Amino acid sequence: MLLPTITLPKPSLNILGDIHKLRNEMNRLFEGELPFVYRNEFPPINMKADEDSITVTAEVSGLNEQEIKSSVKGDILNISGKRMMEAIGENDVAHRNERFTGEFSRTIKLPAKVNADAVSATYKNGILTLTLPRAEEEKAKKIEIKVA
Amino acid sequence: MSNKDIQKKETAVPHSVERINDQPVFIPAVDIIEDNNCFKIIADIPGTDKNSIDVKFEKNILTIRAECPEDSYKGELVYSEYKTGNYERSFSVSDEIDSKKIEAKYDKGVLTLILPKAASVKPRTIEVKSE
Repeated sequence: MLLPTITLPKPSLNILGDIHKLRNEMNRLFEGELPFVYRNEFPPINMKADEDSITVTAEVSGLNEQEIKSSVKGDILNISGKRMMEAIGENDVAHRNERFTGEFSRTIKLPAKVNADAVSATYKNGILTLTLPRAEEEKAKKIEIKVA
Repeated sequence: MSNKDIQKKETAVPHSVERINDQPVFIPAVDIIEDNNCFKIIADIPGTDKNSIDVKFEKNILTIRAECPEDSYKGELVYSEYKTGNYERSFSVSDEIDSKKIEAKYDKGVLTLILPKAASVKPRTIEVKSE
């Protein structure tokens, strides 16, 4: 009878480094340092929120302002565009090709509905920033307490 | 969707080393293209201001370093797919490169380095003469 053979992965040489990394990850997990999500999609997005507005930033370097499209409806935000590849001639050799190229489209749900008419967008140093004011009906209202 | 790593890779810190500041350091994604006259290194370093980029060539090692500050937008971070930190990457460059003529330019989060080849290694067309 053939017994199944089990091959164990070879121990990595950098085992102390790995343990160190794991400990950091565990600390991060329990301390809840950041609402960090691993998504391998272009462009990576961060979102900040306060009582008045939501700020979305995206790392989308190397595009022209006109090449980035962004739309918002209710609480759904879409960012799309296309990042062109560097022109490579017939006799050229690409030794590394790590940067993202091609079309992209990201749709994300915002934590609240926003006023689509008042959204502003800027693009600086490869970072797209969208400032989205919360819709009036979403804003917290102060309740006055009257003396009975 | 592309199968490339979109996430910035953090540099591994040897366990015996402590960094002075707490910010992570990322290895920027690069494209390296060679043509007849030069090598071109294109690196994504979003969030960096032109003045905080440092390109050094020393002992045949070309190093790019860039500082990227945390953004100052108000509010609490509620969702995050990327972290902010500095960038660092080194390239070992052979004598094929004319190091005095290395050029760098920066636009919209992309750093482009042009490394011209030394004249001695450029392909040369040899004219055939008739006798």
